[in-house]
Amino acid sequence: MIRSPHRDALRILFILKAGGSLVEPPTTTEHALIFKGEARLQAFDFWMRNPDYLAAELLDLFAETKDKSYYKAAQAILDDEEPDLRRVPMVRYFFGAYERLDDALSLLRSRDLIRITGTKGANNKVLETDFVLTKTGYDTCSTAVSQEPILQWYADRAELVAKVAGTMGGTALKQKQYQRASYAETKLGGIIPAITEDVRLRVRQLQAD
Amino acid sequence: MDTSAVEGILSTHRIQPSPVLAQPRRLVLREIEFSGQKDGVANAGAFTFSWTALDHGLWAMLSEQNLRGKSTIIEVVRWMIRGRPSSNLQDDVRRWLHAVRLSFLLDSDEYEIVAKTQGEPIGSLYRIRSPNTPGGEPGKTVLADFATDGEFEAVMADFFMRMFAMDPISTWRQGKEDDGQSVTHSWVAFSGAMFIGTNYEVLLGDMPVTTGLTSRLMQMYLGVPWVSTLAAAKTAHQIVEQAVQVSARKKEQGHEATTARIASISTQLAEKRAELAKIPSDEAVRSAIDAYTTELVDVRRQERVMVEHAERAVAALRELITVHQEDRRDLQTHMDAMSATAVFRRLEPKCCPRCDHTISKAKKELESSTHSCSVCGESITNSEDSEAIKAELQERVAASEAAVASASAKKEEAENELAALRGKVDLLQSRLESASKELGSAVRRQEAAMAVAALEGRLEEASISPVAQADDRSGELKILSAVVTETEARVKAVRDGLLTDVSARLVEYAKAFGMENLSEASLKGNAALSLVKGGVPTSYSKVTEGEKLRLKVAAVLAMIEIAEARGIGRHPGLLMIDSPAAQEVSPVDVDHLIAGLQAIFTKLPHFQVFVAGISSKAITDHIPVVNRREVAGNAFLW
Repeated sequence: MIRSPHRDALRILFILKAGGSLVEPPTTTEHALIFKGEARLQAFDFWMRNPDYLAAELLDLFAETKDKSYYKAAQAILDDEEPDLRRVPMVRYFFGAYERLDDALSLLRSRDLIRITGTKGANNKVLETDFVLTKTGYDTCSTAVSQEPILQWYADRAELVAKVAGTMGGTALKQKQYQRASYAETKLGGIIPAITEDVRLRVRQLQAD
Repeated sequence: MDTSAVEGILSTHRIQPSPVLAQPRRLVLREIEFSGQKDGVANAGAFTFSWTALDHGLWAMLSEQNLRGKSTIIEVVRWMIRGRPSSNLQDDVRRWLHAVRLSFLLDSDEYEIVAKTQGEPIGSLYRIRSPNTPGGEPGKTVLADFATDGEFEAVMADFFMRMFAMDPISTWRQGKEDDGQSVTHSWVAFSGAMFIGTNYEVLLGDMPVTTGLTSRLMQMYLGVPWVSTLAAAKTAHQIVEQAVQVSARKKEQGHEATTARIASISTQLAEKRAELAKIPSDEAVRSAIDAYTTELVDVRRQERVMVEHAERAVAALRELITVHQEDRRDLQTHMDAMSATAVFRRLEPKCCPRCDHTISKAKKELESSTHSCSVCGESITNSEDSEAIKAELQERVAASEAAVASASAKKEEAENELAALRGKVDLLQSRLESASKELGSAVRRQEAAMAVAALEGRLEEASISPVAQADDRSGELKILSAVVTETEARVKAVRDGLLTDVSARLVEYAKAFGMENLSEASLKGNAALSLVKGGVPTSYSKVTEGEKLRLKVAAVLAMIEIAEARGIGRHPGLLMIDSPAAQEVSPVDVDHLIAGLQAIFTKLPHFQVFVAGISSKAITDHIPVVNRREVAGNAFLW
């Protein structure tokens, strides 16, 4: 399995952009957006790395809203064989040790594309880690796509993930993902199983409907 | 030809030889009596008529007017003798009659008919015996009783036919198409020879011409031997001929039916034979089963090998697909990574990710001169080999793709072969199954063979043309034909010259009866009478009614006389002539007739002739008063 910290870093960068919100109140012009919560970031990244799980969510949304674009998005994911080609396997991380994003975050921080901040409680304990996307970071997203068009997929996918996640917080998102993964009978400490065939079946059923 | 065969045929058809005629018997009326009650007329009331002491000779019933009872006397006699009243007896007169008695002599024997005639006739026929002692009462023997019209007729017919030894006359009456029937005219017909009524249509008797009876009746008058034999033979011949025709037609129909039957059986036989040919023998079935079993074992073995092979192919394909997917994912990942790396390469480090300290300018310059990282001091190696890695990854993708295609083809091939082998297995199994069923076909084969044998038998049977021995009546026809020819020759031998003599005598009588201009008459065997009158040829049917009356009487008398002279006559010697109404036949004709009859009695002394007519001088001149029953004016005879 080829690993690339640069690719992981860029993926995170696109997530922060897609899932970030304006800094309120505006502090400095260097700060473009703020992405709240490391758990939320992990949750976003889960959908980025497991297209089949994302497709399952899209189908749920379609069933819920009858918005056909969700269905088409899910279908496109399967048609492009994304669950096979785009999956970045990850160790189960909901409880206990999980894959840390330190390497990627370090890369982003060293270029000053992001800044890591947090909300501290009364006893000076970090309650929530927030990620600030600097103006440089924000611009890098655009230049990266224009320089390397192959990276457009990450920008688009991050937007889609953000759309699916909506306003849900990291805990809620993780809960949602956990349920689906449990349903797929994940073995503790094992690799998150592919649910591609389940999703493919649902797509076909919906197509038939 | 065997004599007994001929006799058999003659006996079958009741053809009896009649070479000798029975002696003629003479019939003479002795007493005529009848009584009754008239009603619905002027002289209504009880009446009685009695005429006794009759004997040979000429007798007359006379009145000055018509419808005075003359004809009734003749009709009553006729009724008694025939046993059946003729249609000339008026219905009211028949009703008036309550009792009738007629006594007569047959040669020297005396007989008497006594009948009550109110309703159906009830009475008896008696034979009168001579008194045992002179002067004593004569005794009566009942010969037969009768109580109905039918019985009366049967009694009289039987009595007279036997007394006169007559054979019934048979004639063949042609019916519609091929049907026909022989009709026997017995006493009613024969008795017609004794009565000359007012119907002048036929020369002899009173039966219609259409019955074809006249010529036969004439032959009876003339008493020619063999006549009854000839008639019976002719009738028999016609019957047999008829039967032969019918049988020939039936035989033809039978032949058609046989042909159709043979065709039908042949068709069935061909079908059954084909069926039999299709049913294989058990031996053939068994060897087929052995062959199928051997082949099946072999194919099954091949199938097992192929199953394994196919499973391996499927597994290999699955594995290769996974590999191919991995290769593509690696390539994708590598490409993404290359792009990501390129992006980062353009971005200089700004700070330490660990402590957030800004990278100093000096460190950056050091990095560009020493190629050691400005952050961590590690050597920065430009990963120029990433393009090589990309190429390698692309090659791997291509290689695994080719491997997948190859494995897929192999898998498909293996599966196809497996399907073919399984098809073979199925085919062999179904062949084995049907062959096993065929093993039980011994019974079916037996049945088919039996059916073929039965049909062959039936065909053979149907093909034998039926020998119609029973239908071959040609011998019989030949015999009958010979009998007809022979008897006809004998009849002709006797009759030849007879008719010439009769014809000559007929002319004499007719002349005596006043037909002076009749110069020639020719009576034929069929009783046709052609004439030459006043030098002009004519025939019986064309002369006047008065002339017909005289010709009828002349013909009868001529035949009787010639027959008497030759000893062949069979006429009983009684003749009753009813004269026609005055408007049809002139009194002059009747006078001539009576005068002529009177003259004839010199030749036929034993004859008894009754004439009914209008009173005239001619009659009274010729007939003595004792021989007459006569009324004057409007008076009635009874």
